Amino acid sequence: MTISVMPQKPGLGVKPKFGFVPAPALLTAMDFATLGASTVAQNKLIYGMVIGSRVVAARENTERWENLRRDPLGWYSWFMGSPLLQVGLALFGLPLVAKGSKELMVNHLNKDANFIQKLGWTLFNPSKLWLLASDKQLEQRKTQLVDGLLKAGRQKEIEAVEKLFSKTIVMRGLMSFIGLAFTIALLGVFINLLNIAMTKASLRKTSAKSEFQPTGGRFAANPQPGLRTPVAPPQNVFAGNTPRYGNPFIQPPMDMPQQAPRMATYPRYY
Amino acid sequence: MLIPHHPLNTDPTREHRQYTGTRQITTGNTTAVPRFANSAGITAPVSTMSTRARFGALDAGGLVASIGRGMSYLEADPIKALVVSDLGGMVVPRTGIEWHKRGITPARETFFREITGTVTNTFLAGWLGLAAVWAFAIKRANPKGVDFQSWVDSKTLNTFGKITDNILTSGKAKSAQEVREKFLETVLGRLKSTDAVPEALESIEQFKGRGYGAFFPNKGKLGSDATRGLVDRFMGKHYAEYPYNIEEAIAKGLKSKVYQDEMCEALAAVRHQTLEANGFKPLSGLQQKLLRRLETSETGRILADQTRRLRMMETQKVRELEATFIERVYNFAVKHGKLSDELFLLDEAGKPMESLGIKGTKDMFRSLGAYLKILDRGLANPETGVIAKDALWVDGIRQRLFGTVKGNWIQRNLMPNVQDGLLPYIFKSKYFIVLAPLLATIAVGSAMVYVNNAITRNKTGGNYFPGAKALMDQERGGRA
Repeated sequence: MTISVMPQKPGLGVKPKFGFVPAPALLTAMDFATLGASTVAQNKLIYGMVIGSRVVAARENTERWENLRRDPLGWYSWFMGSPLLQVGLALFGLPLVAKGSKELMVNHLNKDANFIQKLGWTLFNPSKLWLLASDKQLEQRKTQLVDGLLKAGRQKEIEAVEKLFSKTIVMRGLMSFIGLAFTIALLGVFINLLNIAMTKASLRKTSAKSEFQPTGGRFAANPQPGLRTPVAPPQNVFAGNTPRYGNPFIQPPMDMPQQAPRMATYPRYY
Repeated sequence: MLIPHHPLNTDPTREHRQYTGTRQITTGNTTAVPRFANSAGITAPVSTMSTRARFGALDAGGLVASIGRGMSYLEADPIKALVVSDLGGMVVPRTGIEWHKRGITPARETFFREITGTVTNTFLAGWLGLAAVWAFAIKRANPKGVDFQSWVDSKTLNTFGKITDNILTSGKAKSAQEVREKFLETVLGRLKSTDAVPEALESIEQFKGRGYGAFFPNKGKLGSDATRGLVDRFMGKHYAEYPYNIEEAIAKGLKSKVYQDEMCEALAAVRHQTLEANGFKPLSGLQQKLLRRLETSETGRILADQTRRLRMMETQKVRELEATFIERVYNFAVKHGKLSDELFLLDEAGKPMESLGIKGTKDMFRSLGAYLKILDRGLANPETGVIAKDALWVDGIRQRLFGTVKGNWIQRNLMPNVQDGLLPYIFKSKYFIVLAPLLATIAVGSAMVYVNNAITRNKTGGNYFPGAKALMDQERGGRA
């Protein structure tokens, strides 16, 4: 029943062990940064797990392959597409367009890292090597510098400083925009069209194979493949189907009598 | 963010309302409105150049600049950028392409998959976390009354906790007040902006030989006078209302008539109930002993309850004061300390701390304010709430901050307990606030694929992949 409000003095003869014990790595990696918003690290984990569930729950192999193409690619381009493109633009595009902007924008870090580290960071965390200043930072630096120039009585130089900084800030916004547009195009259009094309190719391959393979004599081979007659695909076209739910691809053999259509059922209010 | 009629607003220094002077905005009825400091707190003159002159041929009527402004809004929060690229890159075009190429059923599946993906991947964990924090306002879940609404992430807590422990054990501080000050000096003295502008100004071709680096003598770090100014602000030498010692207010509140009366009434009720149970006959010696024991335990219970209630009230008050304070400290650091919007914390060797990473400047000050509330609770005298200026009981403070309750593995490592030190208590609570919502989100996100499959099964009557069927139908139709 007793709940002590104040911590008690350590007992006599007991050596206190109150040293600071840091939080475990799982908590530090997955902790919220602010309340009510998830962090990117959490998003990466959640999306990764969701991808796993989609692959496991795929109904057919074609769907499984579509998931395996779409989602890991989507994961990478969603999280890394824009940062990577922005770094690329800053390093290689900026010097061509605006002289001096690259120096203002890019902070080159960890120059002495080894090759493996550099490769890993380039692929998964480019800000560890090339940290891009945000436009707010550039704005603040501009104001601080102009402030200093004003105080020093060097008004004539302000215009040149403002020009370079403003140009850099505009470039920063453009780079982010290009990164976003590129990500959207990659995610929405490219991956999807690729998936449709590849599924189509795989289906073609499977059905072409099945047309010429005798399947135990149960199906009559299509006498004229070019003719527009419905060919019942054999049961092995789609691996992983479950006959329990009635696969629409599995049609009864052509020589068997079709089942009579069910009577129409009317709604209850009739 | 300024709270109107707020006590902090009557500050004589009035940093936040400096007249910038160089440009006046003319409104419709040609009244000149003075321009005040912008949100970054910098009161430099606004350029008189036109937009076209500034951006040259690049800017077609401000389009590029407005794209930049929009992107600045998006990139300020990585989640916003993710949501936009999710909606614009996954939900809309994928659904459209599926509908166009494969028909309605695959399009419906795609839309459901992607829209639930947006919610679970980017929002749900945050919402559940917020709900968990609200749940941790109740007494049963949070008997210690720690204020989780002023959130500090574990990385920052790890860093600050380690620095505090080093100061406590190094013997450099002679009083509790000094521990607080030394801690602030250590953290604030090691801040460094993440941008390379101060160094780059020397190497840019256009600016060579102009000595612009001299305007940033500390190369993106705080100067010693700016550090001193910030420490003084956090130590309460500048503003009358902040920092506000919650512990002292609680100790005072417990002695107030309302709380004393409540205690007396509760004890009288216990005595009355006991006598009533005994038929109002005189109590025997043993009964009196038992009654005294009951009263003691009741006193402890009520005292803990009152302390907790007072603490909740006081922390809410401080949270409101803090918002203004953080804004002003940030403005001071950017204007006088020449910090920029993001920063590293350097270690003893002067290298950026990998374990902490990049932190927003305002976020850093907010975390500092929130951690100081935790630290103050450890440093203050438990009886009076005063942070001593002439005494330091290292073991007591370390126990209040870092101690862990005795017991089995689960009690020591998992379940938050009143008798835990503050930091272990917070870490243990965070398992429930952080990891439980995360696991729930993963479960919900993973269940969505089964829901999607079930919807298709109910609508079409077959457990198959409609995307392949649509392509197969097209193939059959197109074979002729």
